[in-house]
Amino acid sequence: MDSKIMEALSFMKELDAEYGDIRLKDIFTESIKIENGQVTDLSTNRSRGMGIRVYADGAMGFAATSDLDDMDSIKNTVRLAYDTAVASSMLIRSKTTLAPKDVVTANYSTQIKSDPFSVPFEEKIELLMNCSTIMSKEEGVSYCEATLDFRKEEVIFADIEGSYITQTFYNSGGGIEAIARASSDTDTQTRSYGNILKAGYEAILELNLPKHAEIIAKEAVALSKAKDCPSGEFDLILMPTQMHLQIHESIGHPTELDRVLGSEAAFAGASFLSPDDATSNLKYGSEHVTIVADATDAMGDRGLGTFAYDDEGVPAQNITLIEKGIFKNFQSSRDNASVVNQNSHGMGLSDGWENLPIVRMTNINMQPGGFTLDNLISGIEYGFLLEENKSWSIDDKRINFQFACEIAREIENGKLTGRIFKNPIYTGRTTEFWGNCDGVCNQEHRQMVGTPNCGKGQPMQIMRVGHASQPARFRKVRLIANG
Amino acid sequence: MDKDLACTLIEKVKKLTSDKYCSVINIEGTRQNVTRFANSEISQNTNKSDINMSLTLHDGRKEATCGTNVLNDEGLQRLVKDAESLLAISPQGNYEFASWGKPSLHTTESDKELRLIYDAKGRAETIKEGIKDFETDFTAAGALVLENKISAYGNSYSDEVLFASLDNVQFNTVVTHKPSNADGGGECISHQANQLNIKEAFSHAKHWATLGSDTSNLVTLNGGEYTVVLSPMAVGNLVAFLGWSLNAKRVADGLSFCNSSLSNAPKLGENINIYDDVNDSRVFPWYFDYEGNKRQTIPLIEKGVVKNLLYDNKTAHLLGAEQKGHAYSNKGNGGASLHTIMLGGDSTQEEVIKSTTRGLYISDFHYTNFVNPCTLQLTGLTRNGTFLIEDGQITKPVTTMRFTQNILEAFTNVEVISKELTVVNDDGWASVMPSIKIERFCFP
Repeated sequence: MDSKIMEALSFMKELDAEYGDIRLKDIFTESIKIENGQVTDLSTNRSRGMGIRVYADGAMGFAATSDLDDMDSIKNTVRLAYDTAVASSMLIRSKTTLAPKDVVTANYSTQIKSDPFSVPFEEKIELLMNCSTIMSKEEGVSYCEATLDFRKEEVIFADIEGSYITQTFYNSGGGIEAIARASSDTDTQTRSYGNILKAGYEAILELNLPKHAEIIAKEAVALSKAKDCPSGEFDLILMPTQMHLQIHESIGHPTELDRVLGSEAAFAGASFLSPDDATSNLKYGSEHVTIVADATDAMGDRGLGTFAYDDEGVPAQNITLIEKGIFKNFQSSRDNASVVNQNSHGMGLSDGWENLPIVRMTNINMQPGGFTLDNLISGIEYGFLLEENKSWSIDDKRINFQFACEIAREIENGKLTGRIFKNPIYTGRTTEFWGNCDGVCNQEHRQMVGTPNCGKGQPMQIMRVGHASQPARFRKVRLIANG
Repeated sequence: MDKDLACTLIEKVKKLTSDKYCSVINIEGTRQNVTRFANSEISQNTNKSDINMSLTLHDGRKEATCGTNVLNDEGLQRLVKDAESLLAISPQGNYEFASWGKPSLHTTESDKELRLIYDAKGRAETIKEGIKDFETDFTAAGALVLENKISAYGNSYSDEVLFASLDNVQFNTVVTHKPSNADGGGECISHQANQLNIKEAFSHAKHWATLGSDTSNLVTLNGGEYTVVLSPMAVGNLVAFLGWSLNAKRVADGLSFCNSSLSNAPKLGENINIYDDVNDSRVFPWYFDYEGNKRQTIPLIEKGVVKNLLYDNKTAHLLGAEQKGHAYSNKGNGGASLHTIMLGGDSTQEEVIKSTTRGLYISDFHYTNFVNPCTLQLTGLTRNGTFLIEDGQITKPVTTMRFTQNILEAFTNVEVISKELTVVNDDGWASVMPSIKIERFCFP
């Protein structure tokens, strides 16, 4: 394949392309799903292809093909990308420039202890069957499922300037879910548990799914008999299983520079931030809130957004987005970084060979504070500790959000009472909410949560990103009634 | 890919597969040429083409599926080998594959004009033409997509191969009045060139952005219940969630508002009629489902009563129901409506607004999601133009509002439905929606 890549790059030069790069990805996936004790999905898939980006006449064109056998097909794809760039130049106000990067030759692979594709299917099925049996034993559980998902991605990046980078990534994910039906015919409550990391099969074993199968089955049944969470203004503690999406939606997306510059205005939406905000000392949250975009995995969290080079050949970086509540940096890729006269922060990523790299989150992590969970709880007269997201929504400027969680645990006089409530729903406004954060737990409480379904772009790209966080306390949050 | 190539590939895989098993082969392909624009210039211009083949093997109640887009001989051999290995260790399930019933099908013909008009140059020219008269205060963002969908189905029970290939164009735009940050939206989707009016979609978007730019009258309303007039795009957004709740698998799993026998399904307003109708000329002619079944026209809601759930073969078998050609995978995930049509009423769109003493006109919703799928409580935000209606007239722009509303209740409170129907984009498929007026819509 190397010779074909080199020939394609030479062809770009023959066409007089201003810049060009090629990404070849070969992606293998494996899925197992067991529902109510039956295997309902046992499947593998392979997707291999080449994405080619060409700049000509100051504009960009991209074309992708899965037909890699025939050099003519690859050359035709280069030609299509070139012609598309020329067509793009019919409607541009100024020539596109790319922020500079170094020419590199490099190789990287996810560090794994156990190759998930080498673990026998039988062993994986047995693990899930065991979980299913445990969950279905709990009286009141009407549905249960257990899943495993694995992905191996082999990537070659090469560009017209001489960079050549090979990377191999592994993702391992596992999850369980129990649904309990309440007395009414249709009202059900769900409890779930699981995670997905850039790791090998060891990540599955660390999850200890069977132990948690028993816990979530009991909690699903208890929730089905519980009362709706009260509405009103309360103090909340968000656990990492909810915090990850709070960070994702209200910090991750609004700090993407392409959204700030309007590139996503017609679909995913824009941002309440403006390009000047990186230097305006904008107060995004309280002094307890420090958020980084860390593709380097500096703290060893194994987040899904970990790599050595992004899909533009820019090195992985650890960028501070918010420092002690003050907004500092945008997430960027080469084309939009150049608009604000900066270097790329290494976030030009695509979900596969067939799509164009755009600004995507890496691991958007909350940095640890100094509290223990008991400290946080002890500071609440009456409130709730919320776990596990089940619904999310935010406006197109990323200001007005609403989330629902699976379970609310009651806190009274600084202690968990043991009472639980179903259907907690809270709503807020981004900077006000983060401004009301008055405590973050220490590193011992840190948890990386994989978010494998982040949608953005046209055509829609589904990206896999990570969010490490600790439990954090928020004052005066509005909870609304389940209707 | 044409039908001959699809047949050749399917035949090759069948020959490579042991005749001990029943094999089902799906080919799904997409070619998309997408020109995106932002700040009134082209920002991305992409072309992608991919064809994936999946092989599902059945041995009694055992089943395994492997897929690949590497369609050379080596790739196909590996596909078959992997599927046979996986089947060997698959445990017995609760469903045995039933043979395909060879439906007689219409053939799908693409409109050749689409590729001629909407090549890369044509897409750039169309966008340029759409925004050429905009004053400098207005900018446009959006996407113009030329798409080809491909689907082929074959199995070891028959030599026949089902094949469909359809070109279509999808367009969406948001026009922004920069000084006021007021947005307006427009879209169109069709498989017929003469049904696309992209210039009108730009004008529509600009119209709402212009109305919204009147910041001296911009109002922020308190939460509460409001009468709302929803555009066809906004209606389509809510109806999509209603359709999703009729997926028989979700119903069986306890993630819907009704049970499998529909005995507890609440009655909506008598004026609510929603169908899945592949034979309507406005929607995409896509006549067989993922499992090779003929797509049938079915009422989903008729005079407010839920009439049908959407099945795949396996869910239908396990629930003792009849599948009617709505499978979207072969994993027993239930069915989906890809040709949703809500019937119109008696009023003109103008009359829908004129009949409103005080209420809100909502152009579109953003980021709608289930809050509780069992009650069909949804939340979402207004987008691309929300306006106060006073005494039958649109008077003032309104800032973004969040609704949290039980949609079953909302569809019992539909007071007026427009007779004009608009084709809207339902996740890459065409659906047909009216404008409606709903009383007591909740913005908490």
